[in-house]
Amino acid sequence: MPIGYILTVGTFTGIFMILTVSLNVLTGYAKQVSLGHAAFFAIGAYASAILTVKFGLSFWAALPCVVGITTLVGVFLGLPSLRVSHDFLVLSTIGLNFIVGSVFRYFSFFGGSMGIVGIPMPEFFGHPLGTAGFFGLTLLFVILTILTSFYFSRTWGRLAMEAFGEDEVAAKAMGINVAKFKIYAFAISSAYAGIAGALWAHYVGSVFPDNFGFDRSIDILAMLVLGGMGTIRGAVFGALVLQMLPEGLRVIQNYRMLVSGGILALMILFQPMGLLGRGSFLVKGFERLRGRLVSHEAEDMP
Amino acid sequence: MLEVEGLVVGYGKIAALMGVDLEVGEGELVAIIGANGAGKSTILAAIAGLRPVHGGAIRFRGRRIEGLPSWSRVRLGLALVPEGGRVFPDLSVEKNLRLGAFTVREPKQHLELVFSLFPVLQERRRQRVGTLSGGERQMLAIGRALMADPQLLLVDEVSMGLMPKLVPEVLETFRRLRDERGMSVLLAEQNAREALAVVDRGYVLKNGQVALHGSAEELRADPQVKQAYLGA
Repeated sequence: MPIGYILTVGTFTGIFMILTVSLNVLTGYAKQVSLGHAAFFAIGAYASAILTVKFGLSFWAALPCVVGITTLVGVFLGLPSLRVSHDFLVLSTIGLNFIVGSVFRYFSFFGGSMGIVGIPMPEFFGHPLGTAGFFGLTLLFVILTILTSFYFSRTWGRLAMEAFGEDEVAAKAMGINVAKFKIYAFAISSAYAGIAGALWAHYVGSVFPDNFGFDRSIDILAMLVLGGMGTIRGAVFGALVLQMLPEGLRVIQNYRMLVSGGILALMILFQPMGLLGRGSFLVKGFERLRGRLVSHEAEDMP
Repeated sequence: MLEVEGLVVGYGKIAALMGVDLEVGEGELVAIIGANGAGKSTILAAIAGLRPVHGGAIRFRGRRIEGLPSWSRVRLGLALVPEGGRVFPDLSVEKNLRLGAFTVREPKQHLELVFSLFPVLQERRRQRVGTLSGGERQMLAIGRALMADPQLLLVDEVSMGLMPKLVPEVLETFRRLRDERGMSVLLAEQNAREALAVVDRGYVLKNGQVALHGSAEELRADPQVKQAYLGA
């Protein structure tokens, strides 16, 4: 297997890890199920593409703008979530895919169906990054995403999100400003997805509306659900498995939607907390094993 | 402390409350009694900001609050123990309590207060709430509301789902809170007999209106109340 191929697979896997960790904030913590995450991904990719190709910014100068834009878009697109219940939110996030896709397709500013091509590789001290360099860059962002997300998971913000995700009335009764934290969840999630989008655009070199369809959103949600909603380890693991699997088993690639959709449906039915989520059979098994070891020691005591 | 004037709340086109007047004084224990569907819970939800108000005024410590969002009412010193407790079953006892102190900067001393009221919660502080008994959960729900350091505690149907012998014990804690901390408490309670045994004053709610109000003794002695709610 050529090293370039491995690095490319690694880069895409990393980008999807950022996406699943970002979706975990929104869907795992705040329980705002989104089937429109690819829209945030797309907005990040297009923002970076336009800023670099049309406005001549470097990747590095564009990145803070991309994060700013996707954060604002997250706030804006999160507003409907304040008005609708969970089931209707799912429907409205499906709509997001098509709205964002149509805007990119029908406005010539965004390149229409011809997309935007010639997106440059990021430069590092005047030299464009190669495959290995870009993999390193992606890895760096994956680590940053995991670290900041882990930090966030230990704050009041995450606790507040889990509280209203579980029971909105109880959360309100405790003085949690539910609206504020819902918007935060959308903003944080969208900002991370924007970074993933920028990385994707600069690695591939072109963006087309078809790159970020509804099926992408299903993929991302399937990864998170497979790994385990509400945990960072689950998000990372889900992206790893579903991104690597089609590489190992070429057959799967032709049936990607079938695999993603099937995994989504089966997991929700039989293991809603995913493979590595809280209370999943793997985690329980591990805890039982550890418990047995500990209790054996305890039994040895007179 | 709390004055409710001409409160009107509707669900769709149906009016659930049709001009309710009610008052809770400083350090007073007050109960709203009435049959299922009379509107007791709706009053508490409107005071806590969980239901939009369609008419009337709610004054808390001299300030109009009916337009404020729920979270800022908690900051002003109002806390609700919702019907059924609504504790978080997947979190530990301690996390539930910490969430109750979301609006408070220094939750440590409140935690001690809660543990002194309900020692069993301290024993189980690391336990997942899903493993607690119904009574323990109800105590946790009260404890969680106390974590917000309220001046007025709103308690919705605390006796529901409790073992009968636990009801007086739990109601007694509200008396303690009043005596030791000067807290005011407004209970919505179907169990009129137990409620009227602890509170200072009561309101009898019927079809969204106050049918009768007075001191607990007066209500206990009232022939109508006796017949309809005390089963005498």
